[in-house]
Amino acid sequence: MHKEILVLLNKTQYTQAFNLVVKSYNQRLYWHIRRMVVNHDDADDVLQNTFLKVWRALPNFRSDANIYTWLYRIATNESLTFLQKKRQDMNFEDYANTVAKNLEADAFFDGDEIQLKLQKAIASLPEKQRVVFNLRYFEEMNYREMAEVLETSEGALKASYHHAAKKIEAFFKED
Amino acid sequence: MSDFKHIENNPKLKQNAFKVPENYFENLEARLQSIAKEDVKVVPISKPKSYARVWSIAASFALLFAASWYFWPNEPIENPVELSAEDVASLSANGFLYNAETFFLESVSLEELDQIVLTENDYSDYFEITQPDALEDYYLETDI
Repeated sequence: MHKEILVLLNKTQYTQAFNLVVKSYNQRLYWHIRRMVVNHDDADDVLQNTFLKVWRALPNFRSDANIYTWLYRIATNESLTFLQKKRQDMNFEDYANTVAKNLEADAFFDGDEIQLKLQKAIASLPEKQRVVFNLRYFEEMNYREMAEVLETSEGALKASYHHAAKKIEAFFKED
Repeated sequence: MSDFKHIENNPKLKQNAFKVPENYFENLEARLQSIAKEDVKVVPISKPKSYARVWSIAASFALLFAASWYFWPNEPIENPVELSAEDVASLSANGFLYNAETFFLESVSLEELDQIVLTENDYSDYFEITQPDALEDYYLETDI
């Protein structure tokens, strides 16, 4: 798929390349964003902004880069920007409590008690730790790819995941 | 970390607990693909659409410069030279300097001089005008 997209980009067939990117990655990026922002409507908005950025940046895409990590990077940055804007008037603890309450009343959350508890624990993590945890735990992305997406070292990511795991473990022990 | 292994290795926890509205993914692809059709490309002001515009502006300036250079009066610049009294005397002796009288006599022939007839009024006007008290009145009357 990556090669097909690159061929279309080399022929400057940007619309066709974009359509192929949407077809190949729309669901994966939706779920990545959804795990970050939790609410479906918010995820839909962030996903649209993500693809708008992708469309505008596609002609400048470097052929030596990996399209999959490039898309994840845009989606992650859009999600972080959205979350920072959303909680700008709240302290982190209040924000985490609000997310937890909304999740309980969310018609599009189908998890059982232990899954709800895990989501509450993830909501209590700082945003960047949450990205690292989600990419590693749910999407099982390796550290090398994560380092490309988040533009940081593998060592820093391992440390970040370790801290996130400790916090989640502590959250489970509390109740 | 041993307690976290219990969480990490729990397949139930790794399952997706979120749902989407019905038919959401069926419409999503078409909706996202419409971004490419609807998005109007923003062209920054500082970046011209093509080089043709840049070249036309450059050519206009070049033409304007060439025209002004071609039509500009091509007079040499005279440097003012300060002359000493000796220089003036020397130049005058060699006929290089003219005073007004010499110029007048050389450029007007005797025939032309004969044709210049001054009337009595011309003289009286001249003497009246050259009186200091009359000068102011003269200038006021003649609106110079």
